[in-house]
Order: sequence, then structure tokens, then C-alpha cells
Amino acid sequence: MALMRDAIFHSEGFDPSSQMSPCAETRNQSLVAPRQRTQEPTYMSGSVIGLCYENGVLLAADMGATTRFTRIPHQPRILKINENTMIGVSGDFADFQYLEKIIEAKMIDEERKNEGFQMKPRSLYVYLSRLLYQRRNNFNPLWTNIIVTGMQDGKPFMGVVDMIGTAFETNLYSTGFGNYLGMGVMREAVEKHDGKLPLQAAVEALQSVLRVLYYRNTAAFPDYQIGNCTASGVKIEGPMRIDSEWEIAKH
Amino acid sequence: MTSIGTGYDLSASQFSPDGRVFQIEYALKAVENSGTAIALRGKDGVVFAVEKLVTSKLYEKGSNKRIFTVDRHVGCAVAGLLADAKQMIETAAKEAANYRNEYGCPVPISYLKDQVALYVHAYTLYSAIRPYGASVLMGTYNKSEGSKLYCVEPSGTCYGYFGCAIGKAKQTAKTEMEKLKLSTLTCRELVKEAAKIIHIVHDEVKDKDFELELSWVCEESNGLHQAVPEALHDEAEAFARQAMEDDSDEGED
Repeated sequence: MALMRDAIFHSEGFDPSSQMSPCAETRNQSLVAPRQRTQEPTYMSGSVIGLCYENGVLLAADMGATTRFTRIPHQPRILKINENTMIGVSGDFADFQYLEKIIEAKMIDEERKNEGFQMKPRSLYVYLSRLLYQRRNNFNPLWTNIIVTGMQDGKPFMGVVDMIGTAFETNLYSTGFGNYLGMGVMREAVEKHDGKLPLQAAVEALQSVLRVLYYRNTAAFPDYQIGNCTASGVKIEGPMRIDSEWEIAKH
Repeated sequence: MTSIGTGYDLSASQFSPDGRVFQIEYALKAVENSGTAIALRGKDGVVFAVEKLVTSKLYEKGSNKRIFTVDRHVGCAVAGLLADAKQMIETAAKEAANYRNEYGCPVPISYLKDQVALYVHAYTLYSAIRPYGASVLMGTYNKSEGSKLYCVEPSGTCYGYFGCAIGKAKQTAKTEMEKLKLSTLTCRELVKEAAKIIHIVHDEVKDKDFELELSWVCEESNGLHQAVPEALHDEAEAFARQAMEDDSDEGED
């Protein structure tokens, strides 16, 4: 029986029992539990919110990452990928940095081939969805939620990929807390303008969501960035600071 | 090559009695059969130019390119068997990507050229395989370290240069380069000179048609390896043509 378990739990790769002392007790302990991979994230970042407007798409996120005890401020989480693509990532910060690395390597490979065209946002969205889904199937997920945005053949595009590989296209989204606290505000803005949301109104909607998130989430940071992708390219602005009123908290 | 037929040229792992490895020399011959490629190292970057011989009218324009980007900051021009050259470029690109992944910064060319040379050299050591029939010019520029240029040869040797030429007319091209004060010239000027050299060394009798490929990695391109902007390319080509005409006019007088 022990042998069979051994075969099931350690059939591939590293077998801890072989590295340990032959002491029977240790050996049995290693057989009790199956091998475990990422069970929880460490440094986490807050919501990323995104919104398609009239002639482009916006992404916004506060800057920084936290554990329960420590904070790393001023960390940008919105990335320009190329002239028509940008992504925003929330979740485990190390996983985000890993993604950043593999996407950059991919972009260099594309530039290098010099075939006269760039990766479009939808391609990146599909690629990331396959990557995250595969990692989840290996029980080794990348603990991240990603919003891929950009201009797809002249039209605003938004695709969402979550840490288990669920992927869908939409026109507004927020990861994390913002999913509960911010989606309504954004949807209201879009509906008010009958789907033709101007840039200014879109920015205001994002800012008000960021403010709500800052008020409600102790882990949030007051500094944020807004990325704007239009037909003329990607522009990431910031850091900017959320104006907040804390006097009322004293009452 | 008086020793042809003596049997010492069949294997890359066997010396001839006078201490040569003929397979490597044949590989060098393969490089010398190809159209010329040159690289000039100026004060603010490196310029590449290739005489790409068009062997059939049926080819699309711009096919079989011989200038490659290895990483954002490293450019290459090749001569010899194109398939062999592509393999060398691929090796360099993988090495550069790997370095970036490991150390989080662009690969230093002094390291990259050694890796490629080492790889090429390994193919000169065994009887079962043949050496690479291609040479690669490899150049880069960054603000703090300036410009650098290396040439990797089929034997696995690699030297640094101020200006280098490979392929058919490498001798003539090198003579032309020696007339220039390379370290004082900017890339903008060098592009024209490079175009001129390629036009000069092109043999119109033996090889009819050719396309001029031009690229640079310099201050103006922000340290990125890119094709020379179209306007400058045309300007350089016009400059080269004019220089050729002036030259032939003088000859008639």
C-alpha cells in the first residue's frame, strides 16, 4: 500500500522520501501528505479596474503590494506591452513579475522576427488564458487576475483571465474587491452615456472606484496609475494620488 | 589547396601533415562565395550593410534577408550559407534571451560573441559533422560603453573590429574602409559610406541584381537595432549611385 501511495503522490519529479534519512518515521510522514504546491499567495496587490470607452480603453490600479504585515509602495502594475496592448495584473506580486518577464521575452522574440506586424491584444489574452489554465491544471497556479486591453483592429478590446484560467471578453471589469464595489459605478457610467462614454467621464468613473477601494481596503495605496490605449498608442500616466477625506472618520 | 585528394580534407577531426584542417578552409570558401556584408563602427553606433544578391526574379522583394536582430540591442549581418547563418543567429538569440531571463539585463556582447564562437567551434572538432559555412558580424551600442563590433568565423575564432567585411569582396571592402576615419564619423554619415562601399564592391558583370540592406544600432535609434529609416536609406543609395557615377566620369577624362 505504501508503495502504491508512493507511486501516486511522487510518480514524477522530486521525491522527498528518497532525499531523507532512511529512518522509518520520517519516511512515513512524507507519505502521509501528497505533494503540495502554491497554497497561498504572499505579497498581494489590490484591484485592477478597466473600462472601454468611446474610442479607447482605460486601465487603472493603485501602486504597491502588501502582505498582512508589510507594504511595498510605488510598484506599477499596469504594463505597456506594445503600441496597441497593455495589461493590468492583480494578485501575487511575484507571479506578476514572472508574467512580466515571460511576456517581455515573447515580445523581443516577435520584434526579432521582424515580420512587420505586432501582437494584438486578443492574441495575448488567449495566450495568457492558455498559460494560466495549464498552470492550474498542474495544480501550480499563477495567483493572478489579468485584464488584457488594447486596440484590436481599431476597436477597443478587453479580455479578462483569472488564476484558474477562466477567460472572457467584456467591456468593463474589476478584479479583487472592485468586483463587488466598483462594477456598478462603471456600468452606470456606461449606461448613462448610451455606450458612447467619453474619455473624461470614463476617467472620473475609474477615479471614483479607486477612491471607494482606498476607503474600504486597508491594504490599498493612495497612489495610482491610469493607462489609456487609443488608436494612437498606449500612454500610462501617474503616479497620481487619490484625494480622500478622513475627517468624517473621527465622528 | 594542393592537398586536395590526399584524403586529409574529408574530416573536420583530422589535421593534414602541414597542420591544417581543410574542412574549416572549405567552410571559409563557402563564406567567400556569398554576397558581401560589412559593418562599420563609428563614434555613436554600428552600421550594417549587405549586398544581397538576388538569384532569381521570381523571389519576392525583401526575401532572404541577411541582417538579423539577436536581441533589442544586438544586430547581425551574415555571409555564407544562409541556413547555417540562421542557425548561428538562433543560437545567439537563445543565449541572449537566456541571459536576460537569468540576470534581468541585456546581454553584454563580449559574453554573447564568446558563446556563439564556442558553439561554432564545437562543430570543427568531430568527424561526423561539418563546420558552419557562415560568418557573422555582430554589433551593439549603448551610451555608457559606446559601440562594439565583432566577427565570428567558421573556425570559431572571434575578433573585435572598427570595421569588418565578409563575403565575396571582403578585401576590396576592407581597403575602402581603411580610407575612412571611422571613429570620428557618426552613424548618419556611415550609412552613406556603407552604401557606397557596397555599390563599389558589387560586381555587375558576374552578379547582376542585388538589394542593399542597411541597418544600425546607435544613438539615434536609442540603442536599438533597427532597419535604417526609409528616407535615409534612399538618401544613402542615391549618394552611393552618385559617387559611382562621379568615379566613372573621372575615369573617362
